[in-house]
Amino acid sequence: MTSFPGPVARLIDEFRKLPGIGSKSAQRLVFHLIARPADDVRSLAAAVADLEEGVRPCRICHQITDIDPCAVCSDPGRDTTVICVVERPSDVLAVEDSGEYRGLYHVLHGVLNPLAGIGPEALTIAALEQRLAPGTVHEVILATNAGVEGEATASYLARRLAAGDLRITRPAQGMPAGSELEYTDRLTLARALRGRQNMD
Amino acid sequence: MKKPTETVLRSLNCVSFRNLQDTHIEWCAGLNVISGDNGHGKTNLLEACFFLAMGRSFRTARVDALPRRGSSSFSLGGEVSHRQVSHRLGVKAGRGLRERTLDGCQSDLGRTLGVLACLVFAAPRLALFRGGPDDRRRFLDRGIVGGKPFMVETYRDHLRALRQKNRLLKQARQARPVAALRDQLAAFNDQLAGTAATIRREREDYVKRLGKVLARDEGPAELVPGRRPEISYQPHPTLEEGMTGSREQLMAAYEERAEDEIRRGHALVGPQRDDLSIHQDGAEMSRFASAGQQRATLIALKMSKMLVHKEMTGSYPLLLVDDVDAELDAHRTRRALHLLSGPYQVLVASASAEAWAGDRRVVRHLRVRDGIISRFS
Ligand SMILES: [Zn+2]
Repeated sequence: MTSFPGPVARLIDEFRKLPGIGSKSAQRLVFHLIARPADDVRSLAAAVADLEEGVRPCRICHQITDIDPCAVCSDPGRDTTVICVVERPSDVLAVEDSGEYRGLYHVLHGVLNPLAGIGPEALTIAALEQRLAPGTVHEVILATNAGVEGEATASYLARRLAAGDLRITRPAQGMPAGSELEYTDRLTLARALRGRQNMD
Repeated sequence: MKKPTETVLRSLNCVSFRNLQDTHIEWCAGLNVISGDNGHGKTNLLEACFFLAMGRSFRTARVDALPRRGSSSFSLGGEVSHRQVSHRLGVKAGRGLRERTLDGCQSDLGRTLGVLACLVFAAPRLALFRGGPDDRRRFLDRGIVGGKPFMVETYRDHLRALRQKNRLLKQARQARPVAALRDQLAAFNDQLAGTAATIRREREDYVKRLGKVLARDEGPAELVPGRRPEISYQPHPTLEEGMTGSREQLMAAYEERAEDEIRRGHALVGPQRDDLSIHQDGAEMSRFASAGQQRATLIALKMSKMLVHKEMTGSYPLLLVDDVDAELDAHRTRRALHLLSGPYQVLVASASAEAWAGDRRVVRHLRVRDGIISRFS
């Protein structure tokens, strides 16, 4: 097989690192871009560059944001006694969409996964503990996904965060096993949030 | 009065599979015979049906051995009627490729198993007796998943959590201090105790069901010479009398061995160490039974599995029999087929066409020659 010119091969390699993109899809995307008008390609490149410069994790909840603290953390209308802990930034949007939740968030940026070398120190757990230290938060909702690692992370956090009369809950009902928050429909998620159970 | 067969594989489409010419075959409810000389492809045809239903071969673990020479993949399709409802199953597979469809939509093993389950009687591999506990666990687990397809997920989760835990234990052995890992171990033990309790309960129940069928008069155990074979489940960890193996009890058993596990660097407790004992007159058959007795017991156990599948799901699996003539002596062959005649579908591959000539139970007789399939007349 003859190889692609350097810049083409490099972009194909970069696309392949994205979730759900294989070699063939990466090639298709690159050749699609080559065929587009130069302006389109430049505006894509600019958008990608802005990600690097204009976006960072919120210093409080670690949600990805362009203003710091993020819109949720700086909204005076939110219930500051409840924190919903999620795996990924996109999970925050899923919970917001359910329309059932008015508290704050905390984004872990992953779950425990020893096989992938991810331990508690790679997640934002220490920052979460700092948020709980003053004792103004009354409930932590552990909304990690329902797979083995998500469940183990919830169970780990339940142990580690247990203190005084802090209520630790997990949305339980109607979350099908192995389901990802991001793909759970609004109604199911809303129901799960309403029916959350104490973890002990 | 004849009961209708609940699950019937109506047809099979076969493209680029082994030596078989691309073909469309219609099957009937009842006894279907495929005859042909050895090496011409009759077992391949059974294998194709099995792969369509189960997503694997009963002869090899290597999927890339299955496409026809010169092809990198094969595809199989078939129509199944399951309780009067018609479904289309499809599978396409090759090296690094496995796509399963049910009624035209992407599907998974758990769902397709609910439509068509298969049980195969092939040249008896006596791994059940001569192999390790893992062979015996597989025997149980495949039966359980056949009857309760959703258990696929429980087994998968258990394996996943176990691999995570083993990785932690390996880290704990290499790196000190271990304190930081203890909490993570407890978290994965939590997951393991949950799935282990389910697996333990299902295995216990399944062995009990098999045991009941074996104890029946006029049942499969009749095939075995001498005393009736018996089976018993040996769960791990063994618990004190009266304990049921609940999640909490298992969690406590895990905690108890935690230090040993850290020292050894891998998991020491759980259903991954279960075993099954098959005994006759109190003696372990793996050690004391002749090859003939083991073979007969294997057949009896498989027939029991079939009856248990019916008990659990309400319908029989599709039965595939490879070369009955070779497997049992003539007397027992007839006895087995008599025991097995019922409202289900059987595909028999046989080297002897004559043996079936004039047999009125045969509803369809196909002949395979050089991979080409034709009606036998
Ligand atoms: Zn924030």
